[in-house]
Amino acid sequence: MSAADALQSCLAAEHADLFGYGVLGGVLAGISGAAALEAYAGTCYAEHRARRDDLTTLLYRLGETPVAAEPAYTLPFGVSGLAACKRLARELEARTAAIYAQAVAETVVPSRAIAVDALTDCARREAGWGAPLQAFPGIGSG
Amino acid sequence: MSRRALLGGATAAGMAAALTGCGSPARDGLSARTGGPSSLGTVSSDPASWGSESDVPRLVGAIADELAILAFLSSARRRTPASVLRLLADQQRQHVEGLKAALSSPFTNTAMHTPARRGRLEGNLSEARSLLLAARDARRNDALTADSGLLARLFASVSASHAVAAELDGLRG
Repeated sequence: MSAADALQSCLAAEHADLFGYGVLGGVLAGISGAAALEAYAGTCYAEHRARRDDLTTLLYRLGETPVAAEPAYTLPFGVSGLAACKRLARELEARTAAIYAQAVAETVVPSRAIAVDALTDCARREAGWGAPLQAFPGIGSG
Repeated sequence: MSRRALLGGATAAGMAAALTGCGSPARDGLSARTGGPSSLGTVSSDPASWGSESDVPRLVGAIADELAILAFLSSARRRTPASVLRLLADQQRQHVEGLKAALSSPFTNTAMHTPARRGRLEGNLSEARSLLLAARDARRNDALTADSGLLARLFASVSASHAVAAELDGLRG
């Protein structure tokens, strides 16, 4: 995988995450007493959107055509309650962390710095959704 | 964590996606892309390799740092039975093992800095958080400067782990 491919994979993951958090926001808005989680989902959404924009700009500057979002995405499971929302968010973050970790291996600075920091952000958000402490986020549990 | 496990983790990015584009082979299309402008750069050594000799001092230094934190956490844990310290010590042990596994041969004579110790629980937790934040930054820097892509990935992951650990409820003041 080239550095460009790795960054494009990161961008594709961000597109998917934004879709996933959009779904989460809608579900959480309909759950009584979930205002705090809804707000957290909004924060996560904003952070992913910022990463998406950064990656898009970076790829343009590098002469690449940034990959576009899909028209729709298939959720891995039904999302209808708080537990499912948290699980989906954790899965989104874990999957994206793995993609950023791979990008770290495939790139050099300054692109690598983006991947390193994004990996940390994913790990932090995953923990925020209740994931246990991990020794090796993005690589796999020790 | 074994070296085999770490290398196995290299395929993590290829794991089944939680979300897949509806009826579109976009990801496959991405993976079929080849090459890129030279300005993108590539890792200076094979990203699938554990690295060049220039990475060895960096790796040895990182192991020493992580061992020092483990020493502190293990010591603090004996004196103050806070569960968060046990959790952190267990995780720290995995960091050390993972970094050691990246070395092709056992290291010896590594200078260890033993952090200052305090007697009170609050002091221990505060010190632990300070150590984790410093380690987060140090491993981030290691990740940015490593020649080996795989080693950079390992450093980045450890940095991320420290960042999360430093924000544990039990450590924040």
